[in-house]
Amino acid sequence: MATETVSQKSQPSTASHRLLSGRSKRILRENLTAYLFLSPALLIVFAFGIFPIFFAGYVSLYKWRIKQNEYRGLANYVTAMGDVAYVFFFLIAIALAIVGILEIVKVVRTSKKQEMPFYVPFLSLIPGAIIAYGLLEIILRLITRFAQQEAIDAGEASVLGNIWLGLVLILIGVVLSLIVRRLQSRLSDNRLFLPDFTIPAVAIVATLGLAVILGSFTLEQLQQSERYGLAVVRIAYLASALVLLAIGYLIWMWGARQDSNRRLLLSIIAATVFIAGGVWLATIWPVVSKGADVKFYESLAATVWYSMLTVPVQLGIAMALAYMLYQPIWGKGPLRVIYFIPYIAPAVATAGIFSVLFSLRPTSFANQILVALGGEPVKWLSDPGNAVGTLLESFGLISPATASSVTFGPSLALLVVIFYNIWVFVGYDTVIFLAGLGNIPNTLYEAARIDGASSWKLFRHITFPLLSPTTYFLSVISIIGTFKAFTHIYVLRTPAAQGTMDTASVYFFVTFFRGARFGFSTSMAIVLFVIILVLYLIQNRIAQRSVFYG
Amino acid sequence: MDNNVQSTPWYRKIKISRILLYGVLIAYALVSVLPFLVMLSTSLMTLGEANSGRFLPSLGDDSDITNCIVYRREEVFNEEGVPEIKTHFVIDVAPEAEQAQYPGFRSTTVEPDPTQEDIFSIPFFTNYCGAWEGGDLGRYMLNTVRITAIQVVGTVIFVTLASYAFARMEFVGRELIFAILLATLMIPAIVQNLPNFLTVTEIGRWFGASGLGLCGEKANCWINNWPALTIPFMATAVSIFLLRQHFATIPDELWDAARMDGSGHVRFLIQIVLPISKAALFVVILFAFIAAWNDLAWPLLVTNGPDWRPISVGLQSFFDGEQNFPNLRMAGAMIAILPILLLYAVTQRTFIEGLSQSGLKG
Repeated sequence: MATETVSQKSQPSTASHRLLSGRSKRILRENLTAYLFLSPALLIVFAFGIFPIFFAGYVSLYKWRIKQNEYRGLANYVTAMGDVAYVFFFLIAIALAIVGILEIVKVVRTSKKQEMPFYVPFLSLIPGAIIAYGLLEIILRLITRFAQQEAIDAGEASVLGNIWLGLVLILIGVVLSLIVRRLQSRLSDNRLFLPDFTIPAVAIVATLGLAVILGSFTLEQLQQSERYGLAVVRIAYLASALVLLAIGYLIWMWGARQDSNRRLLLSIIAATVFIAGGVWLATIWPVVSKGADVKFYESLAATVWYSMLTVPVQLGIAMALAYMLYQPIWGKGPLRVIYFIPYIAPAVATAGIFSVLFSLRPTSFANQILVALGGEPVKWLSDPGNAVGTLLESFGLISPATASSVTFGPSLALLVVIFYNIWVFVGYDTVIFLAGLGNIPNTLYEAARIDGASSWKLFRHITFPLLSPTTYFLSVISIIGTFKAFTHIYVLRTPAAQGTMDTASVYFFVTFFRGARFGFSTSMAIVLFVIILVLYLIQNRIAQRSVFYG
Repeated sequence: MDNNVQSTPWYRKIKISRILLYGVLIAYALVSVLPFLVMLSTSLMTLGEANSGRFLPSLGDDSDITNCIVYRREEVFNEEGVPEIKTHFVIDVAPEAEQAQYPGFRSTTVEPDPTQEDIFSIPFFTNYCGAWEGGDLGRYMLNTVRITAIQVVGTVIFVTLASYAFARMEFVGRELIFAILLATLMIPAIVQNLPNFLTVTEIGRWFGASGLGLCGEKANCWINNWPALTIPFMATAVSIFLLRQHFATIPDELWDAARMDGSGHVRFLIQIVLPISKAALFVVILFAFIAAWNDLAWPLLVTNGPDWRPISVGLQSFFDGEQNFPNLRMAGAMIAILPILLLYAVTQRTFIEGLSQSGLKG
């Protein structure tokens, strides 16, 4: 942080380039006070919020059962995902490389806009590289500080990095960046608006460096793999499927920019390529992930079902309720308070209530409702069977044999978790939607009404589009929430459900807490983290197009 | 907003739609509270009643269904040979139908035992006292209050300082650091929890007997102690964000006037900003409380005894232990929910507004 403090200090407002003029001194003092105020909070956020991600990466490379054991490389990932693990890391490396290149493009664009020679901003890469390397030294040192002494003595782990070297490098980098900056401002015609390129330079070097390290590391691990040939074939399979999907996407995007005749044709081609890619992926996936931890994939599938069935239903109900509550009706306040109760009550307790309501007894609350509706009692939380099949069978619509052949969808036990989640979060979503509705200006409704719009049209063409920022916010929060979900599932889970209701978070926790397989479970947690990150980016990308911020 | 719909009351022309509107809204209100009503009713039932599938308790005047839980205290010796009072439940008159239906259902028949305290026969007392004592819920609630108190002190100091810096100070990298802070919200807790457990263990060892020896004989100062439970949560992105939003609304004139009178940042913060930010601080404190009451994964990892276990873990292990006693579990749930509901009843306005600003739960 100190790096930036000083580097921008020299940003002079006038021709005066002295390092510490009276004004600079005041700014420096303000900066120091600010960082003094920030330091305790930042220390905690860094130590328990950001550092653990790097540390998880380190732990995941070891066999770590309570104590740190031998180094295993990517073996934990391969145990979890199968040979897909290599593809996974290659993809991350490629993504990082793309991010780095995009940053470079951005810098080049800025330099063009500022009308300076193209090489001027790239001078910052020198201090940037030094600072990035210094940061790496410090992070490595911190991570391996937590390696266990026995493991270090036994040569199974080593202490890497040096804090002092890191600090010195950062200091050198900062001083260099000051010098480079003065040089840059001399080389550039437009001195006044010269932006500081140090931070982008650090980011570029760090991402590109990480991409190279990760890529070569993965390659090396792949070559050491016992099933090298087999793994390469599998990777080729998977890559072909992914390339097909990517081509489909590119054609689609290209088509969107064409006129309507060509667009139709291109969309059809894109859809065909997409379907082919999807089918190919589905066919080879079982082959590629052979030998992987079945439960890992099952837990991911459970998470996806959980997320897909929860979020739309929950948001739909909440939006409808909010729209109704928004009308001038009596009892708005009390209703809002009541809807909020499930959200506010402690999750362990409410999950406990649900586990009684949905217990396997024929006399349980849920079963009584089912019987009242004309079905047979089912085992709810203790039923690992498919939800749709079991419920249809309960109403006598299909035979038990057919029911057991239905495998597509969540288990009945997971369905209860989905009910629970909807029940808890509808109240919260309703409150947020109400706040969003309050932000829509009345004049729009009035104008539309003068034009004779019906109330459905008002909702469809004014409320719904203008509510899209709120909807977007809630869908991000809810999807990430379902991926993070832990407490209620941990309380609701029964041994009889045979792990069909274990979403990713719960399965990882159980392997960590009960199985004490620290390395293995952190490797899976990292995979989950990357998945969430990708989901977030996709959501962000979609939102850019369809969210209207007025 | 009321204006707008009053000017064109579409629903007044068709009365049915209004009835429908109320019908749907009230129906969902019922869905929201129904589980709680079932909880209340089941918690007042005997075991037989709870398993019979009836909706309302007989409260003791239904002689057909006997109360079959005996709540018994015993003196046992723990691993270190120290006598401890243990409370456990046995079924007195196990319904045979139950046994036939569910093999493995715990069905100890109690023999007359002079040391046995068969305390209450009214389900209300049996269930609630049973859950309170059997689950040791009183102790866990007290633990939660202790944890929250420590956490609140830390939060108020650290978060206030950081939010103030973000809101009112100019410093290099402010946007960047704030963006990084908000990005931590995207990280799933499980990725942080697992390595944090190792970090906390290691830090605890530094302070422990083999290190600095700050906590007496204990080998680890953090695990199973308040630091592991509170310190990682003393500065969360949500609370910093919330408080910063509030501090940013304080008019610059106040700051100018204070500086004119010769006060620096610290004095301005303590004497002016904090007193006018009581409401926002209250929301932050509420969060700390709710989080301490809700969080399960982290306390499961870092506590291994009852000394500092919060109510979430206590209740979860109580649920685990009393699988076959829905009435006891419901009573336990009721006990854990009640304080939060009371708090909610008193502060619901602040609650709803504060939480709707943050978008997060525990």
